[in-house]
Amino acid sequence: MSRVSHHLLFHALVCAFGVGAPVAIAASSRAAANHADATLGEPIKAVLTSPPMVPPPTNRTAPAKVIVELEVVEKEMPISTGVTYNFWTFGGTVPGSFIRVRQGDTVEFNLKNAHDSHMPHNIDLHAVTGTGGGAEATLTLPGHQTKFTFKALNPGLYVYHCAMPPVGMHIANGMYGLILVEPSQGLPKVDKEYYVMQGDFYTEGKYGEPGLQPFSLEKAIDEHPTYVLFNGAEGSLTGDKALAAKAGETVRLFVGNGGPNLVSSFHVIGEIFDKVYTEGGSKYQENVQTTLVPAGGSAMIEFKTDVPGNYILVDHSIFRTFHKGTLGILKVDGEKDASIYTGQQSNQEYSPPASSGH
Amino acid sequence: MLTSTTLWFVLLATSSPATSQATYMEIPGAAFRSTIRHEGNDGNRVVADFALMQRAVSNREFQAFVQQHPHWRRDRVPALFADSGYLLHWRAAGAPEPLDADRPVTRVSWFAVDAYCKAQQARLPDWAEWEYVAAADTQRHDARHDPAWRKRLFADGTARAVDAAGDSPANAYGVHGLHGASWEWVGDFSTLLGDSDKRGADDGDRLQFCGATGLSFNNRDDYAALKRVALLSAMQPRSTLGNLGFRCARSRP
Repeated sequence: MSRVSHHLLFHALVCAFGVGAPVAIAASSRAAANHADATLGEPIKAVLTSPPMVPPPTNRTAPAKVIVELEVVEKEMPISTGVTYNFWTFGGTVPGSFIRVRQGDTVEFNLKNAHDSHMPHNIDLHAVTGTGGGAEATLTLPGHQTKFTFKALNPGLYVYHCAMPPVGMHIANGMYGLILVEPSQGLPKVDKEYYVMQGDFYTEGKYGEPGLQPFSLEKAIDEHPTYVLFNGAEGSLTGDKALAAKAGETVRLFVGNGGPNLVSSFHVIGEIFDKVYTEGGSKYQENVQTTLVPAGGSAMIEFKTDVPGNYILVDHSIFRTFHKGTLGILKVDGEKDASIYTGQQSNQEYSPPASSGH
Repeated sequence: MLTSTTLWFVLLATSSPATSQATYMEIPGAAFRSTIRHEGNDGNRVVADFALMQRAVSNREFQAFVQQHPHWRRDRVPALFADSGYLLHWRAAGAPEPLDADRPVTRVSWFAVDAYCKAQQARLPDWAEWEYVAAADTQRHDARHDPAWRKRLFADGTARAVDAAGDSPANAYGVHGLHGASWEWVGDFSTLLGDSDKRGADDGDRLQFCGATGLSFNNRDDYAALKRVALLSAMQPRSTLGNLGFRCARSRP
């Protein structure tokens, strides 16, 4: 008897809270949203790009309503030559799709979780002011989609990541990316913009061990990564995939660090950063050699490529670069300028020390 | 003692001949340390003797249930009790694809599986019961201390899972498929974790704080169990998933 009444009560609760409440909430929030949308004009669908590409500047002088659609995909991809890993991704890439909005925009965020996912996922955007950065609002089961809306109050370059338990595992599997909130006046115009994001990866096999490599929880807890990488795979920014610019152009790198554990000593060999928007914020430091990018943090880096050459992107915590994979190339073509850099001018033996006599 | 146990087992096996030939394995209870701490409980449980289905309920078995209880058909079930994904993989409202007939049924809501088990004079297992039996590998009743075993369970819920193949061996209790390609409902799924974000939205409740990875879990190394709990606690009772099935349990009378 008590079991029956408990059951009825449970059903009643489902009616009241499971169905009734969301309908009421939907109606009232729609009314509020309609009022606000009137000043924002027609909604704009955000352009999302895969790394290392960046969406074009918004080129807007007024806030808009922007719709973002992002799908979570779990997939096996190469992490190094002959080595694969079961990545969990935002948009099919590690890092996830780059999102670009403008300060003051009202962003309608739609998160989809692919039908063949085996886990629920969500998204915590550091650009969001509100509980959990949107994570609570986007708990998304496999084959489902969720939606929430936030106002981009603060300009800056922000990390987003999955925050489902076990959080560390979701991040270690590649669930992070960057969202740029342009300041209302826009960012200074540059010739090239690129998206580079570091992450540390933990596999059962040692560095270079071929085949599908499972996640190692033990190494992750000990913070002993097998791979430390730019853009989720060794070689993602070398060879044909090197970043490109011409001598005399200005380059802006949107640099993020997904972690989960390591902070990065980001450096470009042979360049001096003219400006670094430290920690992805609004103030810049000038003439910087190496900038620290925290796990879950970012930096915007600008420099002019004065002379041609291959400029090597590294984590200057340097054993990572040559033994764990943190290496990328910016290939700059163009005319040499010996007034800035000559290249090697001579190579000869120098005079031996004066003879001590026999 | 032996005869009474055997008799009980026979009674269980014959109590609902019309809809199910499912075999229930008798599980001797014991004191057990759950990976999850519940309120006011360090995870120490006493699991009473019970019986658990040897295999997850198949499409064929669920089809028989739906035929006998047509209000659980895909085209008749009220939206309150199952979402729009309910049995969506079946070829027709009342029948699965023939190839899938013996595979574990998925896309079933908690309401539907609860009704199924009741129709077998059974119930869903509680988390503690499920976890207790799933702690076994093929040789040991509790293999959780073995890092190699724990490591293999990361693949639970995927095609690479330990028990993903239909002919995978039974565990030490004689139960098949607990670590399969699909997850499994439990009766008390909604009490496993508090809220959906689980990083402390609720005024510092220790049990829900920060991913619950370090605080509400007795064994922070047991990420496989944590993944399972994260999935189950994300569900609503009317939710269905393409990778979530179930099996039933019976209390000892």
